[in-house]
Amino acid sequence: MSGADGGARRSQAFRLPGRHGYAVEFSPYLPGRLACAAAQYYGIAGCGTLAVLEQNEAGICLFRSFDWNDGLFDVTWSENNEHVLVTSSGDGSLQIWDTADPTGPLQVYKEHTQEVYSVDWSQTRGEQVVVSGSWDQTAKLWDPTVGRSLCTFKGHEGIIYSTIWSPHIPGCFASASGDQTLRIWDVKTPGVKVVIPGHQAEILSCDWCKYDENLLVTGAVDCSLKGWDLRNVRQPVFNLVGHTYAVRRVKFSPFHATLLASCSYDFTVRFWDFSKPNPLLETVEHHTEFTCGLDLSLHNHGQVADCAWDELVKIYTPSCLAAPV
Amino acid sequence: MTSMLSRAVRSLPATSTWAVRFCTCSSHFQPKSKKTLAKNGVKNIVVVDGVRIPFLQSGTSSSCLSSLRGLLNRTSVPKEVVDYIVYGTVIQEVKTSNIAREAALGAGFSDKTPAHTVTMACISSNQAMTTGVGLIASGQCDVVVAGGVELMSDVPIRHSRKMRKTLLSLNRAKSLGQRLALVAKIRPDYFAPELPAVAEFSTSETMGHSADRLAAAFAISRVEQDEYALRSHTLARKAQDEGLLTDVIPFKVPGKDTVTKDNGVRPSSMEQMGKLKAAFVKPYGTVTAANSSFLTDGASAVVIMSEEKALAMGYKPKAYLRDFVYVSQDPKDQLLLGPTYGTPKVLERAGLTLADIDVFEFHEAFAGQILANLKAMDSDWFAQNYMGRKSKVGAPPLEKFNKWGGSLSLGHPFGATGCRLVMTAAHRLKKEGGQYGVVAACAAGGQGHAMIVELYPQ
Repeated sequence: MSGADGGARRSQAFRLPGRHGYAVEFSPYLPGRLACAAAQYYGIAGCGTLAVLEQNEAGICLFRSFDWNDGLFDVTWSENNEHVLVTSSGDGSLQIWDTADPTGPLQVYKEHTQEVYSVDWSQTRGEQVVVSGSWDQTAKLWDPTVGRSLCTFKGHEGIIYSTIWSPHIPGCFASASGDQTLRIWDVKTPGVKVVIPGHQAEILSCDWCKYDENLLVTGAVDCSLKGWDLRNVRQPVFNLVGHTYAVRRVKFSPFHATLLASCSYDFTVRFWDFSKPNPLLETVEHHTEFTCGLDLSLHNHGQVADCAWDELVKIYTPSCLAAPV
Repeated sequence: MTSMLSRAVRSLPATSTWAVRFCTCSSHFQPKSKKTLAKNGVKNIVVVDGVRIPFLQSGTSSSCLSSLRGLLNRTSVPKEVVDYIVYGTVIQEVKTSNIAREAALGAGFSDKTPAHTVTMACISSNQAMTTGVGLIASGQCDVVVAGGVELMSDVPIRHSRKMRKTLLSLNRAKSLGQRLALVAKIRPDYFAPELPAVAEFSTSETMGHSADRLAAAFAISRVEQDEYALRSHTLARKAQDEGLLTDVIPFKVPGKDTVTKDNGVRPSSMEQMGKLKAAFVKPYGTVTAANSSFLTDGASAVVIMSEEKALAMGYKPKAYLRDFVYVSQDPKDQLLLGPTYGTPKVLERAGLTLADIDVFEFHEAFAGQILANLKAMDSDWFAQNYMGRKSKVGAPPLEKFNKWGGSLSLGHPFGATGCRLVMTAAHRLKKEGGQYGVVAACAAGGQGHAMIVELYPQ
């Protein structure tokens, strides 16, 4: 394979006219399918769209799209049904959609009093629950079959930007917040388990390592990514600098223990390997606006999707991930 | 859209949801401390320029108040424009209580310009500058000249108390008989003069003795102090050679030739310094003449204006004078810890952290004092038990600290050091490309001062 074009190869793009992408996620069931949560007017006002896209050799096409009357900020696929997804929106509600049913959401869960910026479906097989993190400084636990939240987690002193389930520890999730802390919660207790004062600035994103159950990474407004070991939270395991503006989202690779990707307001997506002395592997700059959404495919090794406020969703394989290790 | 958010426009009402979302997004834009410390409704006060005459070891030449004249020449500020003059000094000239007034007249300032003198030991010129800041901020003045002077070569030496009492009574004696009776009481011990000592009034302890105790309390070794002193002298010599000390103006000593450089800078070697004996706590003390600041004569002055006035007059200011704080603590055991107490307070007041500061200019009374302050600032235990803080402030990194020498090498005319610190901080910020500097000093009496200097945008 000729690989001299340096950077993304066979990059495919899809334009969502008038909609600015906030989050993308690959389907855990169908290799070519991904969902993108987008909002009108950069998410400040107006409505939102959930676009379910189908990607193949020829390009990306729109499989189904759903509209909502407020901006959609995050999307997560169901782990027990290949057609179901959940989105969170600016009016404080969560919507559960079925791609086979184009009429509207199956159910709307309205309990948060402010924008819900993050929603995640549990990654462990034992239970099927959803956690949402909101600007009202609470996180809520939901069972999609039950119309009300199961539990509300209070403790953050600032708006919650991201709530992510641990892929190893059942019932455990992490939340990143504007109060500059990363907090770890256990669904069995409403109080926080661990508080990590991670950065001197708002923490916008966090993710768990898929190969080490104690390792998390946070991305913050101070443009750095820090790794945290839950067994010793006093200092970070690694500190990755390189972004020139706030880090908006960070994701660990599903294939490599030490590889992660981050997207930032500096329009770039960067790939890092924190076990190397020079951790920055690659910088991909193919957007002309803030990149907000990022996901790494579970099916196609090395495939990455990202979305940005320039109305584009791009799927590509960066050269640092292309060669199988 | 990006540029709009990048400028972080916050003039929206906070009630509407979209304003909240907009503001949350724009709050993610915090490029490194480029924000300025200007406050709404408070005038920006700038230092237009500052000069000092070379600091000379006491006894080498007698310095005078030509720093004021030199300042006029350097800045070409018209004399009539100066609204006020404040000068600081420590060892007061006996013949006048208001040396600022006499110096102003001598330097050729308009006799219509009021002047007063302040004293706060080593931070006297800092006090002069902040008095000027206060006059301008309250809108009473627009242009203030502030500075400090110290003449150690001609200190007032008093008669002993008994002699003073006799002499004063002689004034009142009317008849020859009364006078003779008084004179007959004079004994040889009446003639022993009272020399001024650099000792605390409240504890009668010399500052060097206190510094030695401070160094011992913080376990600063003799070697560390000598190394620091060598650093100070070496950096000062380097700054002199590279022509970085642009605030120094040449000065003609009356009856002698012109001096152009501080004559106290003498980098030597660790072996040479190691041979010296302890100066204050004999024989086992660690503070020696090599790692202390020396008695110096010198003078300095700065012109402070409100920003509008400076720009209206066509000047390019060098720096903003931002938040400042004075602190006081125990003169017995914390005499020289002023910077440790002052720095966190002034950083809090300005909303900055230690990492935001690019330049540190601290007054170096003794190498042991500086090292003790750095250790105290780096100690959680000290912060929790003595300063009532939750955690340590953090010590300024040495790469940013006194890079052009300090009082140890350049000299310390007590009242004039503050202006030197501020001007050096401003020049270093410009040269090194920083934005914020912290100036801090300790002072006799157990007081201290810290001020934030912000580079004027170029």
